[in-house]
Amino acid sequence: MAGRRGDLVTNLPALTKREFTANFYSPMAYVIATFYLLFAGLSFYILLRDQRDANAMRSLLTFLGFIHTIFIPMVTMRLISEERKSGTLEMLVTAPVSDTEIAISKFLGATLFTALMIAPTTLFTWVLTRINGRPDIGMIQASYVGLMLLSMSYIALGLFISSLTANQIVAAILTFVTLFTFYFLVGFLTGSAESLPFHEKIPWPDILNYMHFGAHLQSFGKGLVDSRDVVYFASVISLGIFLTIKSLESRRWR
Amino acid sequence: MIEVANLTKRYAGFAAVDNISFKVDKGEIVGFLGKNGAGKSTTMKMLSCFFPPTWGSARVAGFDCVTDSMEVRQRIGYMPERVPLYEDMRVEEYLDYRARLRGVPRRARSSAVNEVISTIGLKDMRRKLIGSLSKGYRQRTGLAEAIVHKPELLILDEPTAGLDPGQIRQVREVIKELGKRTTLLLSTHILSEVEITATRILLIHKGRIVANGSPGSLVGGAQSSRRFRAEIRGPVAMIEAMLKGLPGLKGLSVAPGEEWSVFTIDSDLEQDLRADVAKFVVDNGWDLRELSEEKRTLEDLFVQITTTDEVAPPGAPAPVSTPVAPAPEAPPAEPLKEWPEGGATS
Repeated sequence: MAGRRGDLVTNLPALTKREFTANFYSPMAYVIATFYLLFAGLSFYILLRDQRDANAMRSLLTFLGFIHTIFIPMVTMRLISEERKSGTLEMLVTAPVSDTEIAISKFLGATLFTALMIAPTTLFTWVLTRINGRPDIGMIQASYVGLMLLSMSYIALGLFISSLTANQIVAAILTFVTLFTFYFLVGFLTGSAESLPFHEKIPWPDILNYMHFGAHLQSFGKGLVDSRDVVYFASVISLGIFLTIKSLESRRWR
Repeated sequence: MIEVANLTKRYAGFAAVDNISFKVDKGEIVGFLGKNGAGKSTTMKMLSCFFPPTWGSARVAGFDCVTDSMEVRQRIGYMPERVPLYEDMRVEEYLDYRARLRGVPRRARSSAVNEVISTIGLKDMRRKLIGSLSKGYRQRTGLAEAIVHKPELLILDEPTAGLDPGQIRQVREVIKELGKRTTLLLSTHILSEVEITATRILLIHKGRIVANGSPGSLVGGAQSSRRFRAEIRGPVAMIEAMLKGLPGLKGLSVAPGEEWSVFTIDSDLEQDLRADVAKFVVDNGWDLRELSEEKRTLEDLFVQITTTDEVAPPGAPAPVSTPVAPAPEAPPAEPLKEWPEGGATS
């Protein structure tokens, strides 16, 4: 981890480029992206029956945020697991690059890929414009920001989990379970906070609501980019990357 | 170039590398020899800054592998045993990427890659996917990667493992060429390989260095005594008694057979006991079927040292500076002392 000055600047572009392009070398990426877009298109089609304004996009993006709990683990599972299994991780960490650079580049590579995967859905906005005339573009943009921040949080957590195991399937399942827990179980518990231990003393609903991904998406759906929510997602992302760095470093004390 | 002092790597319950110290000077080609699991790879992984030692220190070109890891990593080329490569990249693309990570400046990069491709003999493969390469070419790609930034020290972990004899010869040629340019530390369990390529051998066993010297001196050490093998038909006890009276005898072991018994006779370097033995046998009216001298090789040293623990009785201290090990099928009548203290260090 002992970094030279300017390290981050010198190696990050090369590493990130590799991480991003690596997605396209495997058929997996195309399969994931195809299914994802089919899914998104179908959802949009169904949503259009009831909603013919920007709400359709908001509902779609909120729904995609949920669907990402399945798709993002498929993107992140290979990030470190694969390199651990094939041994290329040893080549990577013995090159003069820091563990921080490795973690960040892998995060950025997956983020770029996800952004690319989401990008075609912006066409739906154009469809809306044709149908509706003047959808609330600001609301749609904010929803995209929210979806991207949510996805990046997923990626950061998925990246960390991928660093824990050499088995991609295990990484994918663990990531899915983790994301699903954050997305659903936490929300579910908020509703039944009365049954949680020490509920007289501990403000469970507040805590759980703060932890809950979905709660932080709401304001984006209203067209607001609230700094509190941005800070929340930024914290999750930083935590995921930080844990990944520590996990990479852990070879030093094992 | 390399200074290793009291280097130790402990895993729960055992030491993979146990307090080893050695030095490698600039320009040397050092062969790291040992069985699987002896600690070769672990030592190399510490030198390449993959993980730090439990204690002790390793320095490369004056930089500590833990505190100045980046400096060390920039100066070494490392090829791990499994030669991990990105299967999905093309040879040229991979080399360019790695050169970039290794800090080869943009302008020098394509010439560095071209140079290494022609040095290693990858010209016809440059556009091929690494995943589609044969084992030999994979190995070459790994080697090319390790030298693309012109490292001061090259660490190769079993560079010829898993290759066919033709490929081994080719890779060995490449290694010999590389040895002329950089300091080289390579590990192997193929003895002929180090005998051909290395200027010095470090023999490692159970995490300790048990021998350190040039191939010649180690084999020379092996020849400080001579071993003869005789197959004789006759009363074993009597023959044994007679042989024990030979001048300059250092050791004797017998493998009795139904008819023919095999006698292994060790003597001083100056003595050639064959004539004496033949005379004995004939004089006593026994039969002699074979009488020959066993030439000692590095392989004997290797086998002898590395089989020590399997043969030694439990509780016996493991001989380190003067490994003494009987051949498993023929326990010696008295301890053999072939290896001089000078040739081996603890």
